[in-house]
Amino acid sequence: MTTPTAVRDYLARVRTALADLPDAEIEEILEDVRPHLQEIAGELGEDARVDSMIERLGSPESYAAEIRAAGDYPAPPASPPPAEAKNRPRHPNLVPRIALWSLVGSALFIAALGFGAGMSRRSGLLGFLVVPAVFLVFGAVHVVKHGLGPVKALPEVRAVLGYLRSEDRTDSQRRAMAYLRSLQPAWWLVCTAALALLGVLLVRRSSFAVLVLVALVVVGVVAIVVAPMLAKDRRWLWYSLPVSALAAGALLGGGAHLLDSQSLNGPYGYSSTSYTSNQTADGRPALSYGADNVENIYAFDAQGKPLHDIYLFDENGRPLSLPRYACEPASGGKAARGNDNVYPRPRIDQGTLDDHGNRNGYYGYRAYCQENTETPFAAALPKVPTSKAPAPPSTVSSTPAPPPAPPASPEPPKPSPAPTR
Amino acid sequence: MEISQLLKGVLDLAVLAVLREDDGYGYDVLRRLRQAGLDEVGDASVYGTLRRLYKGGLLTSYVVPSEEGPHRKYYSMNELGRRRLAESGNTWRTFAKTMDNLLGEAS
Repeated sequence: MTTPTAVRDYLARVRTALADLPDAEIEEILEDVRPHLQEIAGELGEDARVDSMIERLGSPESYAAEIRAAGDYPAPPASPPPAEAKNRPRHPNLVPRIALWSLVGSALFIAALGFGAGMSRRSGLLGFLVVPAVFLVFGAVHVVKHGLGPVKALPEVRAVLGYLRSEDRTDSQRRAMAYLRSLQPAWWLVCTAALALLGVLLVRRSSFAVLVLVALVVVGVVAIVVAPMLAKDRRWLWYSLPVSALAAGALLGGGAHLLDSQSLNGPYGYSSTSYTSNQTADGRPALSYGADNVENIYAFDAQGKPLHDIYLFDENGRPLSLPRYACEPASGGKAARGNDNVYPRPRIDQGTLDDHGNRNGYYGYRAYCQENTETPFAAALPKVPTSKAPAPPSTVSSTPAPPPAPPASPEPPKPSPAPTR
Repeated sequence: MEISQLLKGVLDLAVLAVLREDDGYGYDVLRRLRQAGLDEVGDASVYGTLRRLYKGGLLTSYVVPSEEGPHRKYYSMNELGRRRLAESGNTWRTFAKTMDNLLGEAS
């Protein structure tokens, strides 16, 4: 005699209702119940259907509940999924999965935004928070409505939780975890401080960001208030985790910015143009004018005649050195040839040649490189000052080169004697 | 007073009692209880109780393959179960006597 369908269906529903118990235990229970159900099905004969079984025994779910009560089994989890077994969606994991992974993704995205905002001090970046916020609100609505049960039931979550809760740990691991846990309250304070700091930095850059500062502080304070609830109800993660991410990102970004500005500008604070690179490719200081890097300098005398081989120094007598490039005949490329403060540099023209010597033509295939010492432009100088009456220097180009030229130093960067100040 | 209410407290004792002489599988136990006059006992409650007594170490189980239908899991009482039955039996008798006296005086 094979097991009738009605018995199998009934047992399947009992099994589902007991699904939270260990599998072996469920098997034992069903072994006890099965012969009885078969007996009943046998009595019912041909018209043994689940409905008639339910008439005799009550619903499988209440049957399971009775077994639970008599057997001293733990109560079923808060949100009983088997209740709506019939109209369960086809992909029960889909929405919880979106809720979970959008939380993770949003946290990463927010951390990146926080990093960017901390680094660049642009409050506009925080406007992008709208994007993860949409996902977070969606996820939060889901977990508030359906509880965390469906999310916790996801295989990936179960794997992680199983790992976190597994008993076989060394003492030191356990102590480390307890220690980390004890740091939690401090973390929320750090978070709020970091957010407030970020707000202050943004305000320093644009006073319009005061609103942002206020918002950040409010967000941080709410995170502190929420923290105790988080321990009891993990649904607060949908608030606390993004806040943590923003604060962590901002901390890192701010730290990176500090490091950056210190190594470049010394102790004299930070430059406002943090986006232009202040270093040449080989890590030496670059020359810049405003936001643009300066690669070459052309000097003219009062008659507009280009000057060659002039040595440049700043107000402290430091040579304004830049890497010097020269053509490499073998490869047709250019290569760095030391570092000096002699200007103007030859221009390096690079391109391709074809067999007829045409430059940059359609058929060009050979790389060529040419050093060009000509001045690429002529300077139109105002005629007003003659060299006899030295006018107060208004622009660099109209000023006659000051006489105390430093003694010509040999080419590569021997420490040039500093002019007296 | 509903008998089902009373049963809750003494179902353990009743199940142990019907397993005293002979081993039995779940449905056996249920039938014996019914035959003894405990009509009110719920099917699922008996199965749950059997599992609880088994987990408590008062019963052992063994499986007997069956020609027609699924194999049957028999429960039998071990020494611990017998001791518990004796203790609980005494408790019940004392309790019942007390109740009898109480009710005898009251009526």
